[in-house]
Amino acid sequence: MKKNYLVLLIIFFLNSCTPMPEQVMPPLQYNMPINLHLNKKAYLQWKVGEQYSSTVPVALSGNPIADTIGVAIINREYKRNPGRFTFTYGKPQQAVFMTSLKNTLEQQHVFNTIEIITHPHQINSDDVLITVEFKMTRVSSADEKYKIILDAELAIIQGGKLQFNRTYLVESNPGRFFSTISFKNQQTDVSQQLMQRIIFGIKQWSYQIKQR
Amino acid sequence: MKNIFICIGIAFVLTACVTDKTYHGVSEKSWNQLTAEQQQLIIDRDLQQSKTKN
Repeated sequence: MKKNYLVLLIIFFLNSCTPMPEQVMPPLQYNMPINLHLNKKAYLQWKVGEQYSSTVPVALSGNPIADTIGVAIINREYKRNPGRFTFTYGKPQQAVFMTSLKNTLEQQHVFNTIEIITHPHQINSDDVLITVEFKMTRVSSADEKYKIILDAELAIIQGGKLQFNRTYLVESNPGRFFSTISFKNQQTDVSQQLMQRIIFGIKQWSYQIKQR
Repeated sequence: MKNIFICIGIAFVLTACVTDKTYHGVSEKSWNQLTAEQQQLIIDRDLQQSKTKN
């Protein structure tokens, strides 16, 4: 009987010691100079696509009675509080990404002004609309250390015409063997890669319009 | 045997009592880590999405 209690306790302990799915990365830092200024007003639009998440696996002890009870209780917890057990690159991370991108472009004076919008209704023909669509975000299973994969599309529209369009696929480094990188640090890693690609895309577009 | 049922009962009651709050589909713990600007962005986006659906 005591053994069953002990095993139940161990199951709870193991399941409460899993990596933190609810951690959100801090704002991203982009310290490299962009060296670009466009005498235009820009708008940044955020679009959300498909999200694939991964759940924390239940740690089992091998003791059938304790495992049955433990799994039943944990399944109940999964249903009540999915956020505690679900690893995802969702709305909070994407909101941090979008505000960080806006702040970087603002701090480096890439445009006269830049504003985040949720609908492009207030845009004039001379303004620039930069759309970042997270077409697909995926978090791999625990076996793959919750590696994050982002498939995002950058579209730059001016005067109602699509002027630049690129799709970027980036993935985080989950670490190797015993040097697992935390989920929060993986969020930062993959987001910084995407931010670099998007800023490079904006530079490419600016060179294109200057050559015309 | 009686003790184990008491133990299971307590565990069920405890887990049943704790349900995290969510704000715009984001758990309270994640929501509290966001700045006011990031929270506002999520609110605006959800509002726009509900307008589009209607």
